[in-house]
Amino acid sequence: MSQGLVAAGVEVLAGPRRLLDGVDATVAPGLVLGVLGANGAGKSTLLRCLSGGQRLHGGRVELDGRALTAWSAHDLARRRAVMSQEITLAFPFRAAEVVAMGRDVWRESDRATARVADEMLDLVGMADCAQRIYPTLSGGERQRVQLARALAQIHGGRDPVLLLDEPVSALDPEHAIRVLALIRARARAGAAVLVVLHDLNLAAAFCDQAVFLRAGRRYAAGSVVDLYQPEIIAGVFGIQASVVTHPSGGHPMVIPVYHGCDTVERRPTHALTSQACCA
Amino acid sequence: MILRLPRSVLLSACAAAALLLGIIAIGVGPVPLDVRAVLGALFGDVDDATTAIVLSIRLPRVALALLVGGGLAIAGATMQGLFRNPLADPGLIGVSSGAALAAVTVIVLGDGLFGGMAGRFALPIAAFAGSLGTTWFVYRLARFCGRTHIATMLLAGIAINALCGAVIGVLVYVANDDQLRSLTFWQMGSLGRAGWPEVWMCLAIMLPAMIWLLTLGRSLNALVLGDSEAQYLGIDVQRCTRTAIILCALLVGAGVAVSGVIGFIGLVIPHLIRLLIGPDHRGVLPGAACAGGALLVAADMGARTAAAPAELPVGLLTAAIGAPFFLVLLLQQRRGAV
Repeated sequence: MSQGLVAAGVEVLAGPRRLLDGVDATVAPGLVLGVLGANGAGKSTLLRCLSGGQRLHGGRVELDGRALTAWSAHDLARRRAVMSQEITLAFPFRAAEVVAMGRDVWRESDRATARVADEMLDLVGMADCAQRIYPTLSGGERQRVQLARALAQIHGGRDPVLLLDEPVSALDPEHAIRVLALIRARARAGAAVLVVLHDLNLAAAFCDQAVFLRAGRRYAAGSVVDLYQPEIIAGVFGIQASVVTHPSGGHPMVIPVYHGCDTVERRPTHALTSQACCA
Repeated sequence: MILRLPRSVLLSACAAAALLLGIIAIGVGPVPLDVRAVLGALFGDVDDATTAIVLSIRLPRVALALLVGGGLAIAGATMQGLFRNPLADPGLIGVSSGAALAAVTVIVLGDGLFGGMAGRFALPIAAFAGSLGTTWFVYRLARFCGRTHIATMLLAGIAINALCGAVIGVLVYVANDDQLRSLTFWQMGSLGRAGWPEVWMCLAIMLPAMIWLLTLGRSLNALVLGDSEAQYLGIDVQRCTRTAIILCALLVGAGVAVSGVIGFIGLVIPHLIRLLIGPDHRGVLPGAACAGGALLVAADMGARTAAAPAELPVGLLTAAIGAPFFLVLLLQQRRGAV
């Protein structure tokens, strides 16, 4: 059994600024870990650290107990796929060709690659657009193609790890739900999944665990049910909100209070340590 | 409109075109030869005079045009992948002028700097160093956080071209009559100096470099998504970009060493190939190599005949065709249609 992807005390500096300051996170097989926080809280930076695309100034990231830096790009690519935000192309590749790039690392026949690419495009509801030119697709369509590429990369691999940076930010509600359900199904099938999300309610519905980041620090972490408390939500996002239970799903739901939200005080970062919420 | 011809069809068509144009080009000149005479001379059963014309004058020139054109086109296609943009071209971004400046320096100051050592090898080595230096410089300048700033790339090219032009101007000023004639040739690009030694040198440098580049097709495809994405896909990005830059510098350097600055082939040819078979580098690279050779053979044939018996520098011809082409590409890209 894979031990998953573990970040411990990760620090990233950009000049005098600390983008990440001693952040811990574990992406465990079989579970979906949501990473949430306000703009600039360090969500994408954390994802880049976990994917091996970011130099660390402190701490370590390990996959199956081995430091990421000790993995070759090739071996790592067979284990984990990454979907970044907004990828543009200046060349007229077709959607299916972009998805097929995810299969390069497997060195298989063109026919086998094409089969996987079609299958993945079908999964994200883009089968009809396989021959469309990628730069002419809408933002949401591009996002689904990139997700299909990431899924294609780990398709058929052992103990896959999937790291997704805001995979549904440009999707309509129907596709957002379908995509997140698909991602959760991958986790149930054994994948270790990390997903950066902005929508608190989608995160509550589809993530098993969550990490709340604030200003480069881990503000709180734990199961979704434990984390969704009005005071924690206020501390992380600076909004006043009621937390209720979803009538049919049983998971928590956040209902923001819209009037007078400009008067909400953020709780100081140290008021609630991450340890307190881990239990 | 982008066609998706099968790769094999396009490659055979381009190779056939290159071969056919080569045979026709050998026949064109002050002494016109028909196809039968050309083939006869190549396979050795016609009179000595014809054989001499074909084997010692025209064949090396056509062979050099094939090599240099193919090398420039494949280098252009590679740079476009590296810079993630179809506007990159060895001439536009200053790589060719960097090589030319180094070569001109050797021509004018070589005897003083190296004494008798300057001989045959100093020129290509200097041209290689010049193109490597400028490629690396522009690459570092235009890329930031794994993304390419197109404006920076093109502006850096303008600056490098201007700077090299100025220094070359100074060197022209101090050059003697003999050197001056060589310098004109550098600046405008011409295959007029083609001989077998040039062909062998180019073959030894360019053929291995081209074959090596052909193996980088998949990696270049991944690089087009961005440096981080390519890394995530399992590409050793640093090694791949370094290899590609050095190979491009070798191709451009060798090309400039024997023929001066011949622009726009690296821009026009990859673009046309992409229109025919799509942007996959596994097809674009070999296609560009064949089509680039064919185009330069044709352009050189035009340069030899347009103002016969005088000869136009072929670089002027490619620039006259390529520059308007570049403007069209620029407009297209502004509309987001590329």
